[in-house]
This record gives sequence, structure tokens and C-alpha cells, in this order.
Amino acid sequence: MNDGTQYGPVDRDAATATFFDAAARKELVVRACRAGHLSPPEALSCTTCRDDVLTWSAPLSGDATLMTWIVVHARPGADGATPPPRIAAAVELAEGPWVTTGLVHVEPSTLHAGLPLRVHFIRPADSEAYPVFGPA
Amino acid sequence: MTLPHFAIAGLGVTEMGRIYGRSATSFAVEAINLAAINAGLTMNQVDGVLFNSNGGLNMGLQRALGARDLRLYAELQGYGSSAGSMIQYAGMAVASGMATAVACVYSDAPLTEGVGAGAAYAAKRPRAAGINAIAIACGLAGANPRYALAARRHMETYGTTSEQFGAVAVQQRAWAAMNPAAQMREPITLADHQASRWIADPLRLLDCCLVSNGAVAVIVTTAERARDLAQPPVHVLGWGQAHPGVTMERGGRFGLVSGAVGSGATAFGMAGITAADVKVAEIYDCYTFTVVISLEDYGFCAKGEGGAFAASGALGPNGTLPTNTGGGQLSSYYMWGMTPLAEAVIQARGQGGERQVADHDVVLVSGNGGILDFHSTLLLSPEERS
Repeated sequence: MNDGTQYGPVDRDAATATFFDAAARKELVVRACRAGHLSPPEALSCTTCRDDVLTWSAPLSGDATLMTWIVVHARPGADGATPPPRIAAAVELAEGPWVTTGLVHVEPSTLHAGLPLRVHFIRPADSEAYPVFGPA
Repeated sequence: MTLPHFAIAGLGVTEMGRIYGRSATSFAVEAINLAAINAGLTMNQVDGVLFNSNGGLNMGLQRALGARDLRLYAELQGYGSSAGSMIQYAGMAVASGMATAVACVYSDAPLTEGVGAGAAYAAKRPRAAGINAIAIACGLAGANPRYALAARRHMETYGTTSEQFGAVAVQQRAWAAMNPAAQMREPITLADHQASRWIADPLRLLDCCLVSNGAVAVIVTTAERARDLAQPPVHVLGWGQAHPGVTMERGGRFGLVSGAVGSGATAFGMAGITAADVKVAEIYDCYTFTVVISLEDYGFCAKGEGGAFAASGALGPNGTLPTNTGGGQLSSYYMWGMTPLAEAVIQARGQGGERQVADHDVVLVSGNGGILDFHSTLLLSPEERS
């Protein structure tokens, strides 16, 4: 079963320190504009009103819904064993914004749009902690 | 407002595919020379150059061409929408008298000997940091997985199937079999498509475009001047762009809509025609899925029915809407928006040989860039707009 070990390392940059500090505390935050609209964590302008002054939101619920996904099958390693596939997905947070990340603890054949999901946090070697999603 | 009348008067296409030992600049110089010769112009009569590339060209092209006193010269970037956009800007430039004959060129040389096509563009990507690095770390690096993500949304929403994507690949290969310039000419079956390996599930190898070294150039001039040159003029009846700006949030239309909706509407309105008047469609086909969604968005079928439309056989040599008649980027060669444009010029002139479509008085050219982010449309015809 896909436990997240197949996902790669992620570095922070100056603009995302707050997001990755929150992830290290197992908290998920996104962008919020002056009017209080929430936008995806990578947004530079509010996706609702185009306000370009954004701050980080309070921690969100961590509940989400699967919108779409792909399966990237791995090739067999030197020991002949095939690592689990990477399953990348766009998920819709209960609060509205989408996050594009990996799925864990799922079999590809069971996935469908609308599947309820719950946030998990992984920390690969030499990486920031970051959010992924598994079945609710 | 009076619409300018301009036309494509020259076409130059170099050798395509695994042609090693030449730079993108070298291919571009050859293609522009070929296009000028094709039009019946000398290189000194070409007084404008617009160029676009997936990384291979730079402003040194002017010097490489030996060009003197150009009146229009710029690099343009809109990814797969660039070729159509270059024609639009070139047309408006010649219509205003700013320049008289503008070469528009795409060139690239990503393939090197001994390196697989899949790695040709991947090697250039630096390691990302920040939020966008998360998706990449989870498998979404480059265009293949991102288009797969869009395609799955379409499949989940409308019931589109992998077999329907396969129908696009099979029909385009049937066209490519009649195109001496195509890289892949061996016929394929739906079973071949279904047996081809996953690139990023739901997209298989035969859902994906080729990678090519080479260049394509066209010459744009006024309709009046084009009539006196060497080739049958290919008139631009209408044109448009649309860059939809799909948001990733509740209600977002990622994977469900492309810029063909908006750029098609502008182009059709300008030409005073509808999708029903289009006789040949040259649709940007980085993936089979891109063809399916573009056909819907231009109105050739209803939204969500692009898969069934393709599976009906409509796109192939005996179909009701001959589409990607040279084999497209899936089977002929990958020159971004110049692939559909070059074939459109060939068809509009009536120079398609064995694959020529008998009724070719309106040819649509679709250019799609980004992950359905950027779009251009051209409507071409051997007849001038009245």
C-alpha cells in the first residue's frame, strides 16, 4: 500500500516558510485576501476578487474531496521489486481551494471523483513536511 | 472597423525528427529560406521575422540570417498558441504597412543522439522550491502528468474513455500513412493503443506527441501582394486568441474547458461563419485528449461528447470532419502550433497529394498552449474574405 515513501523531497523558499512551519505542526494553511476569501496555497492573487495582498489563513479542517488524479507507475528496482506508484491528485478542500499533491493509503482502482479525503503529513528525507491526502 | 486582409504566401519545412548535429538556429535559417523560395521572394524581400521555440532559439537568429534592416523582429512565447498568434501579429503588421513580408518560424532541436525522446525536455528542468514543488515531488513534473490530470477530470465528469482517446490516435495515424513527411507512418489499431505503456495513467504512449528536431516557417503578406506571388494564397478569414485563466478552487473548470471556446468565437465572428462551415480541422494535439476537448469547445460536437465524436470515425480519412490530415503531432512531427498550421496551408492550397481533402474551402487551425491555458485560432481559405 502507498504510504507516501515514494514521494520526493520539497524545499521551502522565503515566501512559503509559514506554510511549511504549519505543515511541521500538522496544520494546513492556504492564502487569504483582505476580504477573507481563501485561495490555493500557491496563489499570488485572490482567485475570487484578485486582491494581491494575501496572508496565510488560520489552520483549515483538513477535510477534502478528490477531483482528479494520475497514476505514475514505477519501474522495477535493482532488486526486481516494483515500488508503489506515485498517485498525484487535485483535491478540493472543504473550505474551497484546491491543493495539488500526493495520495496515500489508497489503491488506484478504488479512486473516483468525489471520494472523501483527509489530510496527512509526510516528511521525506532531507525535506520539509508537506500535506498529502488519504481516505477519510 | 475594416478588417485587414492578409494571407500566407510561403511555407518552408525542414527535415524532421532525429536529425542530429544541427542547432535550432540552423534549422530556422533553412526553414525561412525555404519559405521565401516557396513564396517566390528573395530573402532581402523578407523584412520581418517573428520566432518561437521551446528553448532552442534566441535573438541571435537575426545575425544567423544575415538579415539587414528588418522592420519587425521579436521572439514570441505563448507555447502551443504561439504559431497562430505570430500569424495574427504578422498579419496586422503587413496590413498597417509596418512591414511587407514577415517570416514566422518555429524551430527546436531537443533530441540528441543516444537520449530518449522522453528525456529530451526533462533534463532542462531545475529543482523547484515552495508550494509548486509539492506537486512535482508527487509525480506532476512536466506536461505529460499535468495533461493526464486534466484528461482524468474530463473522463470522470463526462464518461470519456481511454478507447475514445485511442480512436484519435488511430485515425491520425491513418492520415500519417499518406504523408511522406510524417515520422510515424505504420498504421496502428485500437488494440495497439490500449497495449502501449502508461506515460501517466490515464495517458498512454500513443496518446502523446512525438519529439522532433526541425523547423517550420511561413511567410505572411497582404492578400493583395500574395495574389502576385508563386503559390496559391492562403487567406486568413478570421483569427482570435483566448487565455481562460482557469482557477484551482471550488467550481474550477480545470480539464473541462480550453481557450478554443473564446478564440473560436472571435475567429468565427470575424469570418462570419460557424463551425458547420469548417471543412478541414487542424487541431493542436499534444495529446489525444487535447483534440477531444478542442473539438467540443469549437462546437463541432456538444460539450462532453468529444470522445464519442472521435470514436464515431469522424476525424479520419473517410470522416465527416477530416482532422489532423497530416498525422498531427501524434504521428507526423512535433513543431508546436506550426504542425497544424503547416498542414492547414498544404490543405488550403490543395497540395496534399494522396491525403488532400476534396472540400477544403475553410480550414481551421487550433493552437493550444500550457495546460489548456493559452489558445489561438486561425480560419484559412483559398478564397479571400468578401
